[in-house]
Amino acid sequence: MATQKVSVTLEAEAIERARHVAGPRGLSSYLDAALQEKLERDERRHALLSLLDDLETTDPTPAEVRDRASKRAARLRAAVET
Amino acid sequence: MTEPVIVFDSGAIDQVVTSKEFRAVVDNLVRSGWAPIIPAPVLAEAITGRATDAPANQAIGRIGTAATDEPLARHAGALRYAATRTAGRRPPSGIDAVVAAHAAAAGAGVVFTTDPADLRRLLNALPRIRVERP
Repeated sequence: MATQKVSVTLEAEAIERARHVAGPRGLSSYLDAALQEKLERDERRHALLSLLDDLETTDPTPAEVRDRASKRAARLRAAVET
Repeated sequence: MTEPVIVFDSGAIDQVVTSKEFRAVVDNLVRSGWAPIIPAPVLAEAITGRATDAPANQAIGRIGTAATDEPLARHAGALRYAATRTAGRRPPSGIDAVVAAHAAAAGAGVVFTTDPADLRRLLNALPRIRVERP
C-alpha cells in the first residue's frame, strides 16, 4: 500500500501514550491502524444514515413517533455519556 | 475511548428497516456520533437464506459486519464464564457473548436485542452499556 508523509498537530500527552503502547510496531503503524478504525466506523455511520434517509423519504415517520424516539435516544445518551 | 456504539443482536437488525420508531431512535443516536456495529457471528441467527431476510440484508448491506478477532473472542469467553459464575445459571450462548464483547470493547453504548436477559447478565459489570429491546 502506498504511504504518504503528512504533518499533523496532535495532543502531546496522547502522542506519548501512543508511543508507549505502540511498542515495536512504531507510532506510524499505531496511528495508521487507529485512523483505519475511525474511517471504518464513520463510513458505516454514513452508509446507515443514507439508508435511513431513503426509508424516511418513501415511508415517513409520524411526528409523534419521532418525538417518542427522540426522548428515548436522549435517555440512552444520558445513561451512557456520563 | 472511542465513541459509544450501537450493537445489533440478531432480532434487532431487520427492525432498523421495518420499525419506524426504532429507525428513528437509531437515526438520532447515529447522528449524535454513535457507531453502528453488527458482529458477523450474529448473522448465524439473523439470516435464514430465504426471501424474508430482505430487511435484514438491507441493513447489513449498509452497516457491514464487524469481524470477531481472537482477542475479542477470548474476551467473549471470559464474559460468558463470569456471567455463569455470578448468576449461577446456564451459560449464555456463545453468540450472545460475542455481541457483549463487541459492546464491552467500546466501553459505552447500547445493545439492541429481542432477548435481553442473557445480554444483561453478560454486561452486568459495565454500567455504561445499556441492553434494550429494539
